Order: sequence, then C-alpha cells, then structure tokens
Amino acid sequence: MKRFWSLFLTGSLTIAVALSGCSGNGSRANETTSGTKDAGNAGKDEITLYTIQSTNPKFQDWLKEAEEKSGVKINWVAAPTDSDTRQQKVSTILSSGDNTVDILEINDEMATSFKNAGWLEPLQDTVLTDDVLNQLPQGYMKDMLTSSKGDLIGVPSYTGYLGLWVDQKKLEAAGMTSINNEEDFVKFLKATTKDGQYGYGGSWEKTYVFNEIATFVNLFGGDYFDWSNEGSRKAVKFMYDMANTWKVTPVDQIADKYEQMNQKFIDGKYASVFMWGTGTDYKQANRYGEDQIHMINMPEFAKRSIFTDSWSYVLNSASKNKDAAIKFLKYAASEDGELNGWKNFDRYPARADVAAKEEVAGDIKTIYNEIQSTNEVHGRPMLPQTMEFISEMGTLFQNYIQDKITLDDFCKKAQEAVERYK
Amino acid sequence: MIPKNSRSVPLTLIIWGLAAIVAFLILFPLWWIFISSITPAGELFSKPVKYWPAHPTLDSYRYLIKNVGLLPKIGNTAIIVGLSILIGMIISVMAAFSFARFRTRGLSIAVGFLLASMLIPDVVTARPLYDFLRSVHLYDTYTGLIILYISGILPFTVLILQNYLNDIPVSIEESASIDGCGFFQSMFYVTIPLLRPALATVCIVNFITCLNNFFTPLFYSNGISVLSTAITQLPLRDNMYAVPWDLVSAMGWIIILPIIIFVAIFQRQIMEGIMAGGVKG
Repeated sequence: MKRFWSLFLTGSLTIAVALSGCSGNGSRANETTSGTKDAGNAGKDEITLYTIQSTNPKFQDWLKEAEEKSGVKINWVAAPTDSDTRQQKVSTILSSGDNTVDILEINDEMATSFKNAGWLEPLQDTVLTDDVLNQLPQGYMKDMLTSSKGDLIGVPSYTGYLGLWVDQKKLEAAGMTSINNEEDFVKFLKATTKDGQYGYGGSWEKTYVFNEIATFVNLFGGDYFDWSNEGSRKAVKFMYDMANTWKVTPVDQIADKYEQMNQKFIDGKYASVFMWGTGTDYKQANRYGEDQIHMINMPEFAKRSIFTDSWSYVLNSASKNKDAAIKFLKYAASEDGELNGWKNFDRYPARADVAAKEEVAGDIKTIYNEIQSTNEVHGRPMLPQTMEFISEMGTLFQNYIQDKITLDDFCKKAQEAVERYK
Repeated sequence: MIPKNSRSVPLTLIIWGLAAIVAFLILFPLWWIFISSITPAGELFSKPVKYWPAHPTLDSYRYLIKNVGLLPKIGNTAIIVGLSILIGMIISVMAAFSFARFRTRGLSIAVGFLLASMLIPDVVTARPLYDFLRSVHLYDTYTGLIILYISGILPFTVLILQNYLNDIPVSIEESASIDGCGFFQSMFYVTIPLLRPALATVCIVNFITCLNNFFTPLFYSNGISVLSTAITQLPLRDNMYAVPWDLVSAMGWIIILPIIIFVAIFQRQIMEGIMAGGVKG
C-alpha cells in the first residue's frame, strides 16, 4: 500500500508538471494577441517588434502592409500601454541584454532615459540618412533622439503637436477672429472669463503641468533648464497671473489631469486649452470643428514655438537580427511606412514631405501645415530621470501658484532640481 | 452576550443601518465600475453625473474580446492559476505534514527559511530572477510562471496548514497505525480529511492571490498574457496621456467578477476555515 501511495504522489506531480509544459520554449503562449518568438532564433529576415499598437483595431492591416513592403516577417509582442509599467519592462529588457525583441516602440520619456545608455543602436549611417533626416522635425530629433555622442537612436513614427485649442463660439463672442500674439491671448482670456467660465483651462496636476510650463517657457523665449533666464521666469509668472492676478483660469485645476480638463472644455467651462493630438475626445463629444473646438496656430509671444511628441522605433543593441531590423526601420522611415501609420493609426506623418502628400488629407492637415511652417518645433525638455524631474517641478509649481513660495524661491529650487537630475 | 430576542428595536435598526452603510461603501465602487464599463467614452465625464448611462453599450466588452484577446487571456489565467493551485496544494500538504510531524533541526531551519521568504519584497529578487529564468529558458513560459506562482503561495499555505496540523492530535494517526494503516494510508484517509476546512480556505485565498497577481506575469513574461496584466495592454487614445476609461472599467469588471462569484459561493467555507484556524484549544 505504501508503494501505491508513493507511486500515486509521484505520478500526480509528474502529470501536473507535464501538463504545465516541461520544455521552456515549447510552452510559450500561442494567443491571438501575440506573435511572440525568440528573436535570437528567428530567421534571417524576421524580427520581433515590441509594440503598443497591437490592440488597435487596425493593427493587423498595418502589420500586413508593413510585412509586404519591408520584406520582413514581423513577430510582435504587446507592450504595456501604461507608462510606468512599460518603462520598467523596457528598461529591464534593454539593460539585461535581452535579445528576444529587436525593435521597440518608445515614447519621449523612454527615449530620454535610454538614449545615452548604450542599449540602442545608432541609426544615422543606415536608416536616418540625410535625405530622410532633412524631412524630420529638426528640433525634435536633436532634443529627443540624439545621444550625447551625437548618435541618432530612433525613427519617429508620427508628429503630434501640443497645440492651442479654442472654442470658436467663445472667440467670436469675444469679438475676435484670431489670437496672434501675447496681447491677443490675454485679451481673449479676459474677455471669455465670466459667469463661472474661464478663458483658459489647464491640467495642472503635478505630473501633467510640465507640458504647459514648458510651452509657456518656449513662448517667452526661455530655457527650461535655466531658471535665471528672464523668459523662463516670465513664463511661470504669466501662469501665476492667469490664476491669481487676472483670475482667468481656476487654481483648483491643480488636481486635474487631461480627462478632467477636456471634459470641462467640452462642457464649455473653458475657452481655450493646450492639448495634444487631433481632437478625438472632442469628436466623440460632437464638439469638434471649425465652428466649435479646433486647433489654431500658436500665438507669437517672444517667439512662436510648439512641442511635438512621437513614438519612435529603436533598435535593440543586443538584437541578433540587425540586418532585418534595419530593413524594417528603413521601411518605417520611408514614405510607405509613414503613410501606413497615417492610414491605419491616424498618426500624422513625421516627415514633412510625406505630410504634404495628397494621401494625407483632412481638416487637421491645414493647421498642422501652418504650424510646421511657422513655428519652432521642439521635443520636450526632459532629463534621464524623467518622471522624478517632472514630478518635482510640478510640485514646485503648485506651491508657487498657491502662494506657498515666491517666484524667486521657485526659480531657485527649479534650478536645483535641474542640476540634481541632469 | 445579549440574546437575539431581547434586542431592542433601536439597536436592531442601528445594526441594520450600519450594515447598509458598509454594504453601500463596498458595493458602490463596483456599481460605478460596471456603469462606466457600459457607458460610451464620450459620456463618461459628462455633467451632471449620471448613475445610469443614457446610451448603455457593450462595445467595450466587444472591443476587449476582439482586439485585446480577452478569451486567450482567460484561458492562460485558467491554466496558470489552476495548475499553480493544484501543484502548490500538493507540495504544501506534503511540506506542512513533514514540518508538523517530524521535528528535526534541519526541518526547523527549512520552515524558518520558507517563512522568511515571505518578508522579501518581489522587487528585490526581480532582476536576478529575470536573468535566471532567461538563462534556464523558463522566461515567458507557462512552466516558469507556474513555478513562480507556486513559490508565491507556498509559504502562506504551508504556514496555515502546519498550524492546523499541529492542532490535530498525533494520537489519531497512531490509532490508525495500530488498526493497520500504513503511513500514506493514515495521511490520506485520516489526516487529510480532517484538514478539509483549512484546505478549502487556503484554496480560496490562493485563488484570489493568483488571480490578482500582477507583478509576476507582467515581469516574467511577454507573450503569455493573463487577466491581471491585460489592463496594461489597453489601446492608447489619440495621445499618450488619454486613458481609455471605458475599456479600463470593462477590464476591471472582468477581473473582479470571478472573485466576487467565487467569494459569494464559498463565503461559508471561507468563514468556517478562518474560524477553525483561529480557535485554539
């Protein structure tokens, strides 16, 4: 009997282990949402792409065309779309020399963190040749995708401006037709602030307000990394005045992220906001259009300047399929690649020559072209420990806006933060 | 203790009132998640706040099934959680029995190590474990994940079962032995049936723990996606800051639902198990 139970226990364990799969590679998931494959064992023209687009309804269409036109078989792995989680995952993959993915899609925060780490392959000699590079936003390429050694590490897949959106009806009610400069902007904000409504709405939650501070710093000709610069000081003073002196924007928006800000804008509480993208939220709420909410060109303060963001394709230095990966990257940077992104993901092409093509149509094209031709286009000022820096600056700003510290204190502490995280 | 029939009406009303408040506090967030999951994205933040959407829709659920691969994720979750609990329980029972019945210096040290492992945060061992799993080709495999899940539930399970076994008199097994039972017979026919309340409790707790495990599947796999991590794979909207709250709510509801059902069905066993483990004497 003892022998029976010994055999029974051993057998149960064996069956359980066998069910769970004994061999490492043989028990991989084979699910519809992932085409994972060990890139190290992949064929010659086969890569694994770490992508945030896999849950997009048109991902398969994009993939099919990308495979056909690049001549590369693309396996893919779904990356977390949540930013903190994604950053941890990608950091682990790259820092450990993991070669299971060849190409990764990374955003500005990750590009800033990784570009000097040596984990990404330089692309200037193979993919980002002068003819391609000249068509990309120069400021963005320099700020975001160039390492300290001068290597270009990513192919931007689209351009998305942090533009000024206005409620046309409020603009007309203010008796204005356009907002061209600082004076117009302040006039518009004051004229549209009444009856519990505000001329300007922000998302001043501590990790979100970074975008707006940096935008005003640029407009005033400042330097986000230099808080002795008069333009930088003017920018935060301007934001302080909006909230406390002119009262054209509410202080309680220090708790708001984009969701809250957008809803208030849609509900008519704000007359203008700075916002990314092509207006999907406004379209969903039936509030988008030339007669309703739409993007206008940036007003000219000390200068006309705008931020763009993007997701970029980068090449893992540990990849064993670099030739195939470069084939894919050349495709991604090509006219076909950018048009594929526009067609399937509504991503506005990063290349100016592609954006100018007839295939890229729609009302957003007019304003994007105007911005492209009249503004300094930059990547956002980020430091390697991006989120810590952003959060600290946001906290300082909130303290200043709430009169807990003075402007001088803000600038002093902001400069200390810059030095600490640089 | 006040006899039931001697409770005054006001006291009964207070008790029921407090129970209603607690129930509301627990149920309202669940209700809100459900409502958000059937509200179209454009109406989610509308004012005034609506407690039932004007245009309820199941689009979010359809999207999750079609584009986010919900069904394969449910399959993966079932395989990993099911096998982890099964194998984990077998190992735990054997370990707990050894620790409870055979008192040696080596086993005492082993118990100490096992319990001490509960004190080590996951993030401390994450990177070395990641490298190790890759080197032994267990990264991104069911086997690797199941081993990690089991290692996660093992200390707690062994601790509970060992405590419970300590309260079962050895004399019962000795009597069985006198009646002719072998070692394994007395273990399976006598001891394990007595362990049933504790086994039910740890099974339920382990089920919830495994289902909620976020860090392990997220960190140690790329291709094998389970329900708890699916929330990180929802599509971005328009810009990187726009959170698809309708899909997040639908996903959240799908993750919560099995736990609610499980607890609703087995709440009696859970309470019995907890009470049985808690009363010494």
